Amino acid sequence: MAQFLQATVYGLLQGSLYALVAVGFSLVWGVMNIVNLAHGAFVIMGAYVALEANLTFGLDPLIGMLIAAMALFVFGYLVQRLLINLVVNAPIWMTLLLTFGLELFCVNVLIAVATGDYRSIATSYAARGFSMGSVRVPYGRLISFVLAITLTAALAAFMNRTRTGQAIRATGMDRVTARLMGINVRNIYAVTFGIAAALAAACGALIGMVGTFSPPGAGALTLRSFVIAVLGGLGNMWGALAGGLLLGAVEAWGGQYLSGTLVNAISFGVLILVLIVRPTGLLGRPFYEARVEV
Amino acid sequence: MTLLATHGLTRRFGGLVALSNVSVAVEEGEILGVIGPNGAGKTTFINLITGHLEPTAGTVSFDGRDITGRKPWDIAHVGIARTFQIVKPFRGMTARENVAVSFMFARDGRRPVADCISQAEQILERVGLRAKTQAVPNELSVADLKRLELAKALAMRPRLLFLDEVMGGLRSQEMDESIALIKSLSKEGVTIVAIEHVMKAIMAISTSVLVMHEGKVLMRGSPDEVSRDERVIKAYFGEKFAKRMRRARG
Amino acid sequence: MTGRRIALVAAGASLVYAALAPTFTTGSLLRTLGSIFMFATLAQAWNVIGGFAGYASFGNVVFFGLGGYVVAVLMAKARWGFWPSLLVAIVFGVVFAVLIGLPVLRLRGHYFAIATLGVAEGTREVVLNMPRLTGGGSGITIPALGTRATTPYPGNRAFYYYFLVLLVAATAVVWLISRSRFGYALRAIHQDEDAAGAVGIDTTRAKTAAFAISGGLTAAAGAIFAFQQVTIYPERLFSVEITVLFVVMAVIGGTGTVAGPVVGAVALQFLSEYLRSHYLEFHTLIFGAIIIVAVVFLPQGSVSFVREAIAERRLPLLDNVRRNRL
Repeated sequence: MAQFLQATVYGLLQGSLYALVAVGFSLVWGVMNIVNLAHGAFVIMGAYVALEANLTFGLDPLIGMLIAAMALFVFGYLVQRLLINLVVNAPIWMTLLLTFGLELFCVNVLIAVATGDYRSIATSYAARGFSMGSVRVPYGRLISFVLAITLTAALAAFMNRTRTGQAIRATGMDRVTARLMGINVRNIYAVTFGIAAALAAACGALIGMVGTFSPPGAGALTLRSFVIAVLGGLGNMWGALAGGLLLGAVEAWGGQYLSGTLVNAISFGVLILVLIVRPTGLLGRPFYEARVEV
Repeated sequence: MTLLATHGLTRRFGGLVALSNVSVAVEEGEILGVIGPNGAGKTTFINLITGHLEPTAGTVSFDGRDITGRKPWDIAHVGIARTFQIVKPFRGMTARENVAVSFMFARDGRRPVADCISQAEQILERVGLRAKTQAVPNELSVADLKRLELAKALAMRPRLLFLDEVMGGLRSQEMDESIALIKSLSKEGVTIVAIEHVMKAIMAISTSVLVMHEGKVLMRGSPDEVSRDERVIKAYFGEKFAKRMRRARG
Repeated sequence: MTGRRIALVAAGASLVYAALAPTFTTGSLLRTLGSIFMFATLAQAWNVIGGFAGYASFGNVVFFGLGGYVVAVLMAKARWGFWPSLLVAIVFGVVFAVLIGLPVLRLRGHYFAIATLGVAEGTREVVLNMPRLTGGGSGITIPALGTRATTPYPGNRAFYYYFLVLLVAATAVVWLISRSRFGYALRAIHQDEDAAGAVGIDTTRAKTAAFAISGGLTAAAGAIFAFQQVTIYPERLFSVEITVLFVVMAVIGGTGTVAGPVVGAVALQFLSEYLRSHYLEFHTLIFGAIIIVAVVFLPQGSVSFVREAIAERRLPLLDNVRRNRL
């Protein structure tokens, strides 16, 4: 029983990180109908930025997180504005191919520059923790959990209460009309992508703080983001959070009883099942069934 | 004889009721005009019959056979064709190929590709697109696209043809040509159900008019009866105007 | 001579060269050509479901892997010969496509692509976790030497011809499709699935047929590959990079055309060999960059690009960008 509880707690804590990674991914997909296969690479890039900040300037990863977020926001903005915007009106799987190429490129640049070794960012406090009964909660993970939820809430607030956030939502609903209303769609798309990259980078810093990371791990992160985005409904921030926590828990439970790789197969099975039975996601809204498929 | 009949046809989208308990009978050979304000459920009505949407409740029968909820291609094969309000041409094919595809999969058996392409030319001539057979949809005007849409439907040699706002965006002369074409189709025995906003066109071609409002059938009658009915006026122009008309008539 | 004639002559000449090549080329070039033929077949098979029907499958490698594993298991465990195993592999590919197609072909766009990716990844995991049947992570070895072999190992030249024949068959299938009603049905589905249904095309049946053809051809390639490799592993045979590789080949060459996948495969494989021998560490990185450039400038593929260039007497390089940009 104690093991189950520990696994559940651990799963939720891990899940909050997955959620934070997925939130940006879901946003980009929901607003721009772009599935960014390079999203996981952004996470790893953010982790390396935070690592550098820590090694060179001795900055705590929580501060490194801010630097990583800013750096990747600029990077993401430029990538969207100068590259992805060029293929937005092509058949949709073209953007899949493009972002796949981008992922190969980014991951291999990282390997060339930083090698494929596992790295992590050392802090004095992350590994220490406290115990609630028989369950141990490391401080690092607790902080990440809180931050992940805070950032998701912040993103939701941003989308609902600021002009830019509303512009993003409007563009997501109807690009043509948004343009007619005076919204610079090229810019909005780039801002959205930048925000997603920034969140991914922030999460990368957190991942670096609580565990290890390496360039080849990017793919798994992207795939999890995909599953979570589908589970939670595209463009649904809270859905991504719920989906992430759920996936984290399921993986932790699965890890207890099944061999490691079979857990992946189960995630895929769940994904396909959800896609077939309820393509709008577990928390998506059924009315959009009626919308014309883009 | 009744060619198409719906009973209690209903469609819900979550909490929104797009169509509610619609029962309509279409007689063979007639031209049924369908009018109603936007959002009345006219296109949903077509979508439910032609298999693009599944009814939440109700049935549809064609020529005595139940066709409720069948797939669009099955509907095509029993002899029902439709045009789309927002035209849906095959964008990578020429006008001729667009129509040829309709021929290829129409209900009476398999025909070799070459035959279909030459037959397509004849249909295009009929709708007035003889000069544009090699054009791709990108190069066609709105009126031409509507003609192409109609040609695709005609190539299916339907017994029942649904026209969804074919007059939209047409100039006066183009509209007259379309009206003439529809009338000649009717003379050949095709039963037609036409959704329209353009009153002049509906009144000119319809033998009977169905008025829809907020997902329900408001009334059905001859074009004359419908244009004078107070409920119809109220639905289109609002309560105030209806009152004014009543007062004006005394 | 019209463009068409030139193309036909070129195709004929290449075929003759290909048929005679083994008599005057060395082993390594032969192997390169053989792998080009294999990838061209994979790209051509993908072309049916992805290029014509527009359903971009990112998981076609699952058929490749299943084809290979069916042959390996039948030959190693059940002591079958290669040819009957090949037949079973093809049937398996077709049946798997039909079964998977039932749920997956109902999805569109991104959902379909990723669902197929999920199927491929999931299948790999399943194969990895059945060690008693498939050898799991340690792979499985086909008995190919001496008295243990149920079919004597054919050798380099024979495999070259097997892949060539398969490629010719695959291209012939695609050529036939492109001229038939079925081809029009697939194109109609690609260009407007709703309208296709409305004019009487049974879209479910057409899509399933396309997927089945794609699966069968891909499985055949996997089967021959497995025999050639003798020992196979799940990561190699179900690698997602293989899928993307042949999708990129089809895209660069030209989806929905008959020659496109072959052109793309030849170009990309030669490029890949060149990069591998000169810039090994940056090989994947450059490959990623190539994908990016291809998608931006040549989304319609080189075959259409060349046709347009000849027709309009200029290089329409930026046209695609202008057409597709936001």
